[in-house]
Amino acid sequence: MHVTRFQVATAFLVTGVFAASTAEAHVSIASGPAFANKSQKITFSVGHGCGAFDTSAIRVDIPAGVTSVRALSSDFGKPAVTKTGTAVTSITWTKPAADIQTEDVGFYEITLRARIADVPFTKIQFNVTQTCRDTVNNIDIVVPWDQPPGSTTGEPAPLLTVVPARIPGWNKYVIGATGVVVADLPTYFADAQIAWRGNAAYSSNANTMTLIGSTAGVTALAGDLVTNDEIWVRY
Amino acid sequence: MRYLILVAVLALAACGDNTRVAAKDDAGVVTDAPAIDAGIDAPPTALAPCLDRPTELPRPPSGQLPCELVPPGFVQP
Repeated sequence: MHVTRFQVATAFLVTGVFAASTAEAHVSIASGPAFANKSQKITFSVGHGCGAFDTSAIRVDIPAGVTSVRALSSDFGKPAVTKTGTAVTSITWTKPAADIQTEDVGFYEITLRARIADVPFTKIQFNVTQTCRDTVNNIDIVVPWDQPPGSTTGEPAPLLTVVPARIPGWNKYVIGATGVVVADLPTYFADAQIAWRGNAAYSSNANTMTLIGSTAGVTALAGDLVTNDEIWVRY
Repeated sequence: MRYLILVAVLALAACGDNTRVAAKDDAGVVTDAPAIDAGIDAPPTALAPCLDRPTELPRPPSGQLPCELVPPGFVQP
């Protein structure tokens, strides 16, 4: 009976049924939104390994619109870079075998520096591949984090939120081709004091939203922002 | 000589008048004239943008957006 339970547990693990645990703490971007048309560091966090096993390697694929890529060393050691011509297409950080832990107790961050294209109010998907080492059976477990938002299968890819560069005070922007759906206002204007389109305003601050609702001639911004909308945003 | 006396009388009269006006300003609590800065704390008649006024005392909540959060060029419909 004991052996049967062990076999079932082993089969459960080896067949890669790690989604329940991995989905709870995604591989995600920990550095927050990025500024459009700027070079900056982008940090990915790896919340945990695969089931009971430690993460042994992380590969980040570089998407379109991300250029001038340079990788920083991490807890995994020095990065290995693949290129097409001069453009970096992926970075892999692989932990030395001696550093792999026998259980999943680590939290990891990896960082690269890159220039983000001038695409404010968009989200850039980074496909990440996490590899864990099953030190019991001496096999690798590979978990791709590459699914777009809304997917019901696989693991969600980290999304980099791109916001426009700004200065303290009032900033005027023109919405690009992709527009901004109203559901994303909290994402793109999380650190803004207030954003206006015409006489409609939005703020991530609940008290300011109350004032918006009680000010004559002002309405809450409740619709999508569409291409060529002019907005004023105060930071 | 008469002219000089007249000038002196007018000068004295002018000085007296100034003194009286100054006394009236000091007694501003009883005058009907509005204080110079009375309009700052009063509710605005129309929503309009303004510059930051960090040196001023905080204003009591008016229930409306403060003018600092109103964008440049905004005209209340």
